Amino acid sequence: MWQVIGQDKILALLDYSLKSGDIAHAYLLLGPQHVGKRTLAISFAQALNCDGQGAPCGQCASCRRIWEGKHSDVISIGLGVRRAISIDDIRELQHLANLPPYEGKHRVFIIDGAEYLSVEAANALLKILEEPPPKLTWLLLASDDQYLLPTVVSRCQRLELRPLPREQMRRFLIESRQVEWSKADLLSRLSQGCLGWALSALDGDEWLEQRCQVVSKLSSLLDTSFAERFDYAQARAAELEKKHEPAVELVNAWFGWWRDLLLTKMNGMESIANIDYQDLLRAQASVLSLVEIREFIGKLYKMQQGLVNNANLRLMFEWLMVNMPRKELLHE
Amino acid sequence: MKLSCLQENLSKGLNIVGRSVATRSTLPITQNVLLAAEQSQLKLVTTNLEMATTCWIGAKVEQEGAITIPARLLTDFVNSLPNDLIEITLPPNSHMLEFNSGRIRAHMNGIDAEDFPPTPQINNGIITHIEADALRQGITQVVFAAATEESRPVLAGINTEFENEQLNLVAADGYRLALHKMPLASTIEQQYTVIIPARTLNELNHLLGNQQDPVEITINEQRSQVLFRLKNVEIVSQLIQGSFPDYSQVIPKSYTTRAVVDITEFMRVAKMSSVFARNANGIIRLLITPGADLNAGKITISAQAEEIGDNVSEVDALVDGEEAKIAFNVKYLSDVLSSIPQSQIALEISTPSSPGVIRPIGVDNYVHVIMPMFVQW
Ligand SMILES: [Zn+2]
Repeated sequence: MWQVIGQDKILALLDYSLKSGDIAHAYLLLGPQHVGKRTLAISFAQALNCDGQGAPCGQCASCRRIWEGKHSDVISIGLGVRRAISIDDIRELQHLANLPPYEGKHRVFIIDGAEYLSVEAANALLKILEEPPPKLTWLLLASDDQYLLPTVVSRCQRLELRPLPREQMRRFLIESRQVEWSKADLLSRLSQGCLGWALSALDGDEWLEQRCQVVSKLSSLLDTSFAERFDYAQARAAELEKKHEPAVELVNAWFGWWRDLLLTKMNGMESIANIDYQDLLRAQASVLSLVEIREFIGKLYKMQQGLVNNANLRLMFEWLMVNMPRKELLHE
Repeated sequence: MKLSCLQENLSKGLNIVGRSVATRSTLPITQNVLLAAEQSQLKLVTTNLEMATTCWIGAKVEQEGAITIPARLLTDFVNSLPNDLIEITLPPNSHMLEFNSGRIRAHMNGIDAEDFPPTPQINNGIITHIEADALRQGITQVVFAAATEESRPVLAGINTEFENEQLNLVAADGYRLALHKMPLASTIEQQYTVIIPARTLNELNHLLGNQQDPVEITINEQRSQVLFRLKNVEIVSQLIQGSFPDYSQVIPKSYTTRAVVDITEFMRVAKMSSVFARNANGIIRLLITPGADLNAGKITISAQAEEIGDNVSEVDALVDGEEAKIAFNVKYLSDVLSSIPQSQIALEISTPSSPGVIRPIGVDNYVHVIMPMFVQW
């Protein structure tokens, strides 16, 4: 049983490959953060090594060791606190790549955040992919393939993970996780179809509280002085230095807010994510023009790119703050 | 788990298994050593996922059990203890291993033994034996010629050919090739070839130490793993998958000039030349001159480093054939000369652009080929 929800097409394809034994040397798992790439990767590694019935069974010793990250043939490298995945990481894997499985049946090397491979690392990986050893599958996880070497992409089978439709997510949260309707609705909106995100948010209420703080703060900056905005930029840069994932999350929160403003402006309120901020969204949307909103969303895209390219966080935030429209709001 | 053993034994055991502790770690637990108290022994296991070493030491076991402990911490601690009896205890449901020795006490936090990668079991397959001495010499004479880079993974291994009553070890890195043949102590029926990581054979060579007993070698049916059984120590190594390039064409079938020379003398002058050669891409030039009338033949070795200086020296040689010259990387020459236990070698060459061959005199079990360097003569 696959522990993956809502990726039926991909699962059907993988099931077929497993049955026919026609496993690709490398797959590229694409999709936004928390959409379930990692879960899919781990499940696939389980399926390739499962000793039980209906692989991945999730129950056998092999499946459990893989789930717990203890299996010596399923090795995962990621960004961690670093700014890039280095050539040394790839060399270490390259060394192991030509050895047979140690305890299982099939080696699986997972690169979580393939867009952060350094150029040398990506080239080293390409060399391995050009002469793929047997019984080894690479799983490259990335949010977008535009930051990957095209030559690497062309050697991978693409698997695009789709965000879960809002209804399906809400139903899942209510039925399988016993979440109350209004919370399930909010989570299904905020998560943009990324179940992993919704589940980690469920793990603790402090998380939802934190999100409230983040959104309240960023949404309050529209009518503040530049001095206050620079304080914000400075504080975030200090807080997020060397913390890549939280930085990406924050920029996503900004995206979420401005996408909601765009939807509100275009009378699409039904689709907004920050459903608990409807009044503020309406107030802000009424003083902003469509062009201003679109332009600022463009700036956020630039910021996102900057994060991938390891641009200076403080400079990026300051630039964003300067480029955000300033509006007086009518306070009731 | 509760046992006691001698510090000396534990220290020795840890030094043995310490050689296959993972250095960089993709899987953190591979930086630990597994301790398992079973029957009247303490079993120590480490793995770097390329090779796993298991060593058994004598111990008085009161209660069986197992745990893994950071190898570095444990080894440093045990090495610092006086040679005394050490009592090791793991309380039930605990990960805190307790050490008591005389007036010394220590605690170490470990990780569950269940989490340790299980050592590959090799029960059936092809079994053979080899004399420890022969194996030691064979490894010493080939392992340095294996590639250290990973660009061609099979070249980082030693091509190991079992042929009835013979074992051939071959290493090549693209610049040189070493082939050593040795007899097996027990014949096998088939012929087959596997590629053993050079690193494994290097470690095996260390662990062979002064062992006199023959070594048992088992290769599993899938030809994915090999087991070396030594006295109280077992090494399981992964085998490199792929096929070794056909090397037979690399070994020249003929030569125009053959020089027999004393190794010690040759080494001495090669070393001298390396002082200059190291500033000139390692290049040394050899000029082989046949003897005439009452004069003996000779090899003239020269090295020149631009703007630094040069040196020329000669060694006597028994030369057969015409005058000839060739340039080598001095490191490759020194590597092979220092691996040969005999007192003389034959250097066989033909043109400055074809490979040179070195064979020890008096035995027929070793061939070494060095690619020439292209230089202006
Ligand atoms: Zn299973």
